[in-house]
Amino acid sequence: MIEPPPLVPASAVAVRDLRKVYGTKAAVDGLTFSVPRGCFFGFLGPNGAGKTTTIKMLMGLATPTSGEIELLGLRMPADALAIKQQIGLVPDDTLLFDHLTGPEFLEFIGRLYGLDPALARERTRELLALFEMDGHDQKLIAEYSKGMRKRVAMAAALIHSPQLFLLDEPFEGVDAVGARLMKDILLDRVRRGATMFLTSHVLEVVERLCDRVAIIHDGKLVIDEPMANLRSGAETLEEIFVRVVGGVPRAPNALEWL
Amino acid sequence: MPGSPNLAQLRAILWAQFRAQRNFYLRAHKAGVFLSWLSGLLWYSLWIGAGSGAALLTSGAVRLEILEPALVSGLFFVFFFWQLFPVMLASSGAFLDVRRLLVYPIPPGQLFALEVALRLSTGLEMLLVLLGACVGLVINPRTPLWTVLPLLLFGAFNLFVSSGIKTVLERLMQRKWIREILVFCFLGLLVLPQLVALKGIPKPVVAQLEKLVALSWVFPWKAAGHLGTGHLAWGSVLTLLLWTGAAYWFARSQFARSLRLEEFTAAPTAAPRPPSVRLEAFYRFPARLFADPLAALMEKELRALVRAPRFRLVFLMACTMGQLLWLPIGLRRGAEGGFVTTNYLTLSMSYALLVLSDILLWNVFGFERGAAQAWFVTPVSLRTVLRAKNLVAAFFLLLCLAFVTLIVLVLPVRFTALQFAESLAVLTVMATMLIAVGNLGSVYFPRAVDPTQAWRNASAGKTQIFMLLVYPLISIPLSLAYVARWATDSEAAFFAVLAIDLAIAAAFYWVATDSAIEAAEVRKEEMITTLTASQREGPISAS
Repeated sequence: MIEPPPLVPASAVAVRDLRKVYGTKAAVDGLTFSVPRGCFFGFLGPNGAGKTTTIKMLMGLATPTSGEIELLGLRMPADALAIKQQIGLVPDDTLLFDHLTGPEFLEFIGRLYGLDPALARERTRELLALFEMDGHDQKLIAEYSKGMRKRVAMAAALIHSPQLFLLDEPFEGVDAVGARLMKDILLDRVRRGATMFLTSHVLEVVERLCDRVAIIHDGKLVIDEPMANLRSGAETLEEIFVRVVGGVPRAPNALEWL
Repeated sequence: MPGSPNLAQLRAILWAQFRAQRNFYLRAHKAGVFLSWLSGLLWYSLWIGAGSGAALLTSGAVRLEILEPALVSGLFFVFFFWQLFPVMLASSGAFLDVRRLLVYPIPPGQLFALEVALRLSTGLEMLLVLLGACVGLVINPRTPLWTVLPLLLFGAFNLFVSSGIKTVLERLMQRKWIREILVFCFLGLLVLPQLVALKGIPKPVVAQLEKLVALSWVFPWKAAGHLGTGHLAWGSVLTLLLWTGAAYWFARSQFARSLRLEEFTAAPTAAPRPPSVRLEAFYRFPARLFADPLAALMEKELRALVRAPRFRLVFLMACTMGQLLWLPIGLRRGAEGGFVTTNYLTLSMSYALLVLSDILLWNVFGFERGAAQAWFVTPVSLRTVLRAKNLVAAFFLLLCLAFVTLIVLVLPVRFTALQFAESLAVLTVMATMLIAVGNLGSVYFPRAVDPTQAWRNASAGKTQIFMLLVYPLISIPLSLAYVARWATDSEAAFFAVLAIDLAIAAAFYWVATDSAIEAAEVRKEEMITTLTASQREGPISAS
């Protein structure tokens, strides 16, 4: 058996031999990778590959069956509280509290991250203006459109100026203007030294934003390379993805009745 | 060919519902399923017994002259039970989830037929009684076979009325504050017979009622009862047909309106109003007493609860429903100085605590649903989260005590400062214990709850069964305080035992909350999955 490489202490995210087993099925099966600080990291995989389970373990929402996780040099779950203080999350939109308005939610999250209430309110105003949501002050989050929910989730992830972002499909349901705005903000954060851990099914977005990509399939890592290496070949990221996850091309006339 | 398209759609809806239920039960906790089946079996056995009794009555056991008034009264009971009992139990039975079905090419008439048929789920007990009566009439040698028809028509009348009422209530309940006003009116209606029994009916009302008795033939139960005992009177036939036709029109028009409402609710809502300054100050009050993150969590909890229609409704019921239970007992002649009168506030508040527990204590993450995962990803300890939720729960319980005290001050029952102190002390002990158990229940049996749906239980069935077992245990230390008062005839002894109870309750809270926090760390995945899960229902829902 090949011994997995040791954890890289300088990494923003370092995962070693991570496993998560549900019953007899391994959702994540011996994952080992690291994400350097200041990297825009794309974490891809087909549906059911283990992406969400991995990101849940990174967020501390799921306990690994075995293996090690280090975020920003701190160990999860031993240093969970210190890690949570320094990460920004854009998970699926269930994390939002439907019966708060956007400004109330942002202020609330800011205060949970230890910001002074006045400072949290000030940042809330600035973030709402930045995300072009300042006209929706009185609306409950339950009444928001999907794109608006993503914007407010992204604003909440930024309010405490974290060093590491865990982004689960952040552009899903967001219009082109909103998506562009969000991408610009994220790229700016990376330029200032922050690290992005992004999952997305939109490979064009990943290709344009990320400087390193990993592909997971059946709980195992099948590719972990800098984007520059992947681009140097003749294949597009989509072609590489379909090839490594074993997608079978279907004939357009496979369903005769259609 | 698989049959007519309409029937095929109907079959598809029922098939999808069957599969949804089957899938749910296959994944549900087996003990919970067994208990619900067992309780259902016991309940419906009771009503099969009632149906057999009705069959015995109508099969010739009594003379026709006696049978007719008995049948009229029985049919009135059937009507009352079918229409009002579901409202009292806050249940609308099974109903079509129109929002999910409206997008498919199903004729509205077919949806209506199915919706009406589903009303049987709220009156199944009465259907058993009606069927029993019908069987008896068939057996009875003195009544012709056609006497069954008016009873069946009366059943259809009830189905239509039930469908119309359900649709009207559903529509009204969607409007802010309307549901609270409706519940208040409904509670008033419920207390009316009890007040009448105590104080008698005013003479002018009696005169009007006497006039109404002369017109009793216009009521459908009277017409159905008259026809059901073999009296072929065309006036009664016309009355019953008119009532059934009117009920059909009522149900059909209301259902059509509810379909249009679905379109309207998809339209953009009006611009929201800015919050009032006073309300904002109320929400921000915890920040004056506590530091963040506790204050922020309490503020969020206050906002979320006050904005949840379900919570507002339950709070209103908690403040008022105890009076329905205890007032008639407290006001009856000779009750002065009795246990109920001398402990009126304590009993009212104990009842209020029971009503509020379901929504406020037993499932504290329910309203948050998937957002509860925030407590595992933000840098805040679960202990602080539970503390904030418990403090807000305590605040609302005290607010309820204040309201109930105001009501009691207005009522003609004896009330002293000592009684208030006693109520406060008993409530504190009970609430501390229930909050402690609630923290455990919230972690072990979480359940996603829609805060906008006013008519559903907030906690899981397992929690409610668990609580039924817990209540007798909780009442033991409190009973000891009352025994001490009775044995020593001393208030000091009573409060001394209560003080010991409070110390025990505090220790219990400490241990239970610690256990809940430890369990939450282990069970967090299961908790989040349960809280994030969408409705596990098919095209037909139930409440």
